[in-house]
Amino acid sequence: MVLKIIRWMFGYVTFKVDSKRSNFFLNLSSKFNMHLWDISKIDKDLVAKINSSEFGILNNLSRRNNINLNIIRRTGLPFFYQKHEHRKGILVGATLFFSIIHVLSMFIWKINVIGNESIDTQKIVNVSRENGIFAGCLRKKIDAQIAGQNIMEEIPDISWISVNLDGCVANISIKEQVKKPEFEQNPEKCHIVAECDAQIFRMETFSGTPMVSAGDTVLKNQVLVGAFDKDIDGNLRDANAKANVWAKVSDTISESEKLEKTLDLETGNEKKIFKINLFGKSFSLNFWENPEDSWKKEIYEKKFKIFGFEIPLSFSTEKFIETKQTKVNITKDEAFELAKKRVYEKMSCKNLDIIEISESKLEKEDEIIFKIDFQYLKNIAKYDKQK
Amino acid sequence: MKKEKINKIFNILKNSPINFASESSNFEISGNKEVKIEGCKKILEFSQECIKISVKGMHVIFSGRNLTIKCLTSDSLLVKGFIKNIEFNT
Repeated sequence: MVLKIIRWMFGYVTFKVDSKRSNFFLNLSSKFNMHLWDISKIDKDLVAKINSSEFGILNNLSRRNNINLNIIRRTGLPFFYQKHEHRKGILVGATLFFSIIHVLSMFIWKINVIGNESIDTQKIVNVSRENGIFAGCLRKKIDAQIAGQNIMEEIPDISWISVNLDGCVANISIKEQVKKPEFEQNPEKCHIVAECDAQIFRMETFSGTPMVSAGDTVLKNQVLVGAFDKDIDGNLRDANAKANVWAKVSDTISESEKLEKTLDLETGNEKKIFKINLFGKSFSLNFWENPEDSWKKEIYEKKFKIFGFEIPLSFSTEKFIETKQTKVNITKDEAFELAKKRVYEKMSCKNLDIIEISESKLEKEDEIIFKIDFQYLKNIAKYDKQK
Repeated sequence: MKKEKINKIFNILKNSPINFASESSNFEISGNKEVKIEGCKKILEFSQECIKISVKGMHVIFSGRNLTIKCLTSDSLLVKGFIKNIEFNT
């Protein structure tokens, strides 16, 4: 392959020789140290290739010995240049093409973060940006080793990091730290007491003596597991109480919704600002300024990709919608649905293990109140120092 | 003393696996597709079916199909193609 490229760079000539004197021609060229290649017989003619620089000498030599060389084809860069010499556009275009390729290959185009599970990718990308690695930075300005060390210092959860530059892509490979398990430190002798009023559902006692059993109702701060054990002889001795006490706990969530509301309604006026983001910097295509704060803002961004490869060029549209505060009357059903939605959203945020649930609705003149009473399972064990 | 040394070096070269002092031609055959010949004196016949060359003290005939000379220099050549037979005529 390399030989082919070199031959193409210097140019070569494919020629044919009459069959009558082909053997003599071969011996002649061999004797004068002419380097021929791809010598074959096609339709009784001898076809061969030779460097363009040697062809002149070989041609003279052959003429003196009454051998005619017929050129079939001239191949290579010198002939290509000769052919297109007057077409300056091609030359300029080719120069421009290679220059652009060269210039673009000097930058980092993409950051790949590999190996993170709990650490957010965006966080690593942001920290690496602060340390000089970002889409659009110059390759030669990156000191991979120092940048890696700085990233590791700034994100302590990383135990190992490697920054590799592969062409225009920066690969940040990390290994996260395995956190040591947290043991509850309870060096002093403690009872386990109830965190709140509840009904015991299940007890898992590891040490200590249970004072209550499943089904019992307990009050806040009531001792659930005592910090002592009985030995075989029935004597009491100090022990560190350890247990999980699962109990049914009751709770209530309520939300009210007024029938007359003030809403931000869209007036229908819109303004759009188009921006081009190149290498992290954005350029506005419009000349007007951003509207006032009362306008609602929506941003749409389209990132460009070449062969699935994300390039640091994106087109964003900022849509500003004018809103106006307006008083609106809603129906009781609508108010009920809104209140219900808010209550269940609140409950789902708490991520509870619900056992039982009951809904209730209260209608007033100007508002609707929605309430849920529910029971859930909770570990109510709380350590309490012995007095 | 100097002569002895030169003779010693000459003997080492003569007996070494790489035969520096060889006067005969070398043939390097790769399967039945390629033969590299060093020490070729003359090409006597060349066609797609047969290549006849002259080396020191003998003629060598390669016969087969689609035979070509891939490369030719002053004393060596590379024959490529489907070689069926190699004949040495002394």
